[in-house]
Amino acid sequence: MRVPVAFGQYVPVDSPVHALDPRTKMGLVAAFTFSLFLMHGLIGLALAGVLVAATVRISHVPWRIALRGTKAVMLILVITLAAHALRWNPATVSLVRLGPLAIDGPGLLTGIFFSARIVLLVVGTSLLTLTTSPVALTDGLERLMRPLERLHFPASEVAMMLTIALRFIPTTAQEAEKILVAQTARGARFDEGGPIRRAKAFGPVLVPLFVNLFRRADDLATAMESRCYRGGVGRTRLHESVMRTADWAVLCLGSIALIALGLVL
Amino acid sequence: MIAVEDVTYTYPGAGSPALLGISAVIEPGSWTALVGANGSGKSTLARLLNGLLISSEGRVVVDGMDTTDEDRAWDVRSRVGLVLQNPDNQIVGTVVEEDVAFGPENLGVPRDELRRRVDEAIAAVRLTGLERREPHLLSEGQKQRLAIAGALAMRPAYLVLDEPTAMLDADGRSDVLDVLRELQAAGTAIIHITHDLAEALLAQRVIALQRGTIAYDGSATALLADDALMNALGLEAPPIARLASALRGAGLDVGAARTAEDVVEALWPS
Repeated sequence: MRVPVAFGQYVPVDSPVHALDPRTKMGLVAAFTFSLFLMHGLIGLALAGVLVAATVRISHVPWRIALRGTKAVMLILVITLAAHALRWNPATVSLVRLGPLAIDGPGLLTGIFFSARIVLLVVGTSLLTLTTSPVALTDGLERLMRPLERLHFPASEVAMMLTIALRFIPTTAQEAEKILVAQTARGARFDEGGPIRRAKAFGPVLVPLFVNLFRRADDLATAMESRCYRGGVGRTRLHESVMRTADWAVLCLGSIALIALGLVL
Repeated sequence: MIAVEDVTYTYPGAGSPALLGISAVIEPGSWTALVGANGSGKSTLARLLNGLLISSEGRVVVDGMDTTDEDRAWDVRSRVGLVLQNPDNQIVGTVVEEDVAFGPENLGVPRDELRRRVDEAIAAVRLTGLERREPHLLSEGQKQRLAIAGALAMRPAYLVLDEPTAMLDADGRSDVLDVLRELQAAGTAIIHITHDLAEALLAQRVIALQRGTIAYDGSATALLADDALMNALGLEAPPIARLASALRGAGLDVGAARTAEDVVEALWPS
């Protein structure tokens, strides 16, 4: 049994989309979402679809991965479509009729509109996490939260927590795998019995894992203090994402274009 | 110079002190090995040296800065680097160079200076080329060298290492020791806590702790020659020292042999 060490959805390739500042991408995703909800016609959605497809092309993210997110919402799509299109014994003329069950023409169009919007929303927003590394995302988030520090919100501390969490996910996964193997060697079975028995079998894995995590946390605190960590005050950064002219241009023009599109179509 | 002056330390809630009346002076640029059984107070002493722990009695003075002086706490910690046993637990950054940068970032070092320090520290531990590597993809030996680089980036005058090789394989161990040797040659004082007397032989001076007091403070070779003291401290001589002692017993004095080459050289001078 392997615990995958790779996590998240980030596709590590070089592309103009990857090179954008995380804040630019977050802003564009927000504008895109806003725009999608402003639209009230299939023409607008079709245009948004073309935009998303173009972005996927430019970002070099494989289609299979870009569309992966839609799998999770498949059930919602089916229900949306059915709820809008299906009629029971309608008085009016329907597109297709099967006994009392009928598919309504205008209803079908509405269903397609809402389903398409969900698909575009999922694919469009997932492009953010597909083209931005978790580290860059955390960094972008910190920069976005920074103004809140004036209201005594601990922005850099929150970012540090996220960074440490990201740093320790693979380490913890590796450790969980080690314990799993160790317990299997002692005769523990994780692959038999019903769901409850299986869940119970993970007790001997989780307990040592948590004990070790606490020990780790203790060491980590010692190490961080030894390296003079004292919160975010006065910290400099080796890499600080910089909003270049191109970022501002893409962000401003992109957002305006997207919102205008939403208002017009 | 780190001056440890009659230091006693009792952990909060503990009945008896972990360290009792310890005095020692660590010279700049020196290499000191700190040995002793588990619970003898080695790690406690390590944490007193950089001010993570503050002595209950007595004081620790680092290059003129008293560790009880809260205003100088960060100066003390950047002067005395601390590296722990488990490399995984002390790496904060998500990639190598960001972890190395963590210390100087906290000190507020400006960006260009930061870059220079990070590159230097990475080169010093021979991890050049792995700057963008994620820590969990490094070998244990590389991780420990990364932890050392993290301390080095703060430009410490003293480097305290708490059993840095205990979790490493033979290759990782010798890489770490090589790096330490180079660092000392470049002027950094090494305070090396170890269980392994073969490693302690690298030091000019060995301090042995026993139940919170200093039981021995002198050269490694003199300690190895004293079988009664070695037994009392629960220390086991490394094979090369046992060989030298057996040869001495047979009437062949090979002197202060640290390696097999030293023995050969003593027996058959070239």
